[in-house]
Amino acid sequence: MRIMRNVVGQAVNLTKEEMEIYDRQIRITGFGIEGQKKLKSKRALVIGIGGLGSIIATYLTVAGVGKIILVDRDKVELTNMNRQILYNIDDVGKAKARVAAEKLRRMNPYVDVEGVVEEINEDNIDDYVKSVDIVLDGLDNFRTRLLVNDACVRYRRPFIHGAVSGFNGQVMDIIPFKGPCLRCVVPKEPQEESKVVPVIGVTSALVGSIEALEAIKLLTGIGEPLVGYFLVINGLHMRFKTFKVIRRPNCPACGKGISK
Amino acid sequence: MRIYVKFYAKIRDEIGIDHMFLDMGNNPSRLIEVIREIDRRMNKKIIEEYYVRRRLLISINDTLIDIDDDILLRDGDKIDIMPLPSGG
Repeated sequence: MRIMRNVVGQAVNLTKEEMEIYDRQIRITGFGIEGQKKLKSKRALVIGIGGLGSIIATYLTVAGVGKIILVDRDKVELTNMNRQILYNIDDVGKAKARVAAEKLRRMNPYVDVEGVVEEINEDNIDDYVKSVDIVLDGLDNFRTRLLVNDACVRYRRPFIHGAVSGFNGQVMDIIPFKGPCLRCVVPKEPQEESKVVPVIGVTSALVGSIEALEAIKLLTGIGEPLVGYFLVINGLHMRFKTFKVIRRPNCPACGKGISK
Repeated sequence: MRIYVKFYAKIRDEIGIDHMFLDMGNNPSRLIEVIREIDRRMNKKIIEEYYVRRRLLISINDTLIDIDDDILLRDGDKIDIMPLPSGG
């Protein structure tokens, strides 16, 4: 695995051009230049650059998060085109992480975007998670989600979970030991859905945007994160419902006796 | 003992209704009994299939539960049952 310069501790300044690029968000009350500098000093890891990851990575890039690491083992396929908006038809067959990183660098050259063509597994997850300030879920299975969740709990990194199917989706922020983790909701790996999960692109966009928004809030320290709550989105009937989630004493990841 | 059950997304489509009221007799009921009663009423084995495959989320009175917990449902409880999406 390549990567990962540590930019924490370095003084962060914004150029005149960056001030103009981010002008409209710097004007938001409570965000300001300080919020922008915080974003620039942070590193985000997006695992899976598909329907969710395309949107997450795009919005983190244009928002000005300092370093973004994209990890995906897959190549672009025609069936990705209805939702994975970072890719064009002529990208079919190319590695997603490379194509995505190149496009995002052009979108905002002030962001250090790194694309890694690799499968996330037990052997590499710790190094990835340790090297960033926040982890975002662009995955398509719960086996890897739970692996990522456990590493985020081990290294106390915030993890934004999102998932979609059809017109439906869900989002949850995990701040280890300050609120419930993904295993407090899904303690064991469920049987996966059929290999192909149906989805309309806008559902991925909706959930991915909310994940990116939650990350921006957590990285800048503004607003109230979706911690201890689980947002369920029904796009077909346009209902958003938030359920409470309790940190479980017997959670295999963050339960009693595990916290230090 | 009366329980309100609401279904979401694909489960709602498969079961064919948005919600139901269940009359479970006089004693508190375990979650699995409620699940089996829903399937029995609808004459389809849908919810138990999702439950066995761990492909659902269940909320009781707006709080998500661990489906492995041995929970007793009581009169007036509100249950939300939704599929667990996994796509990205």
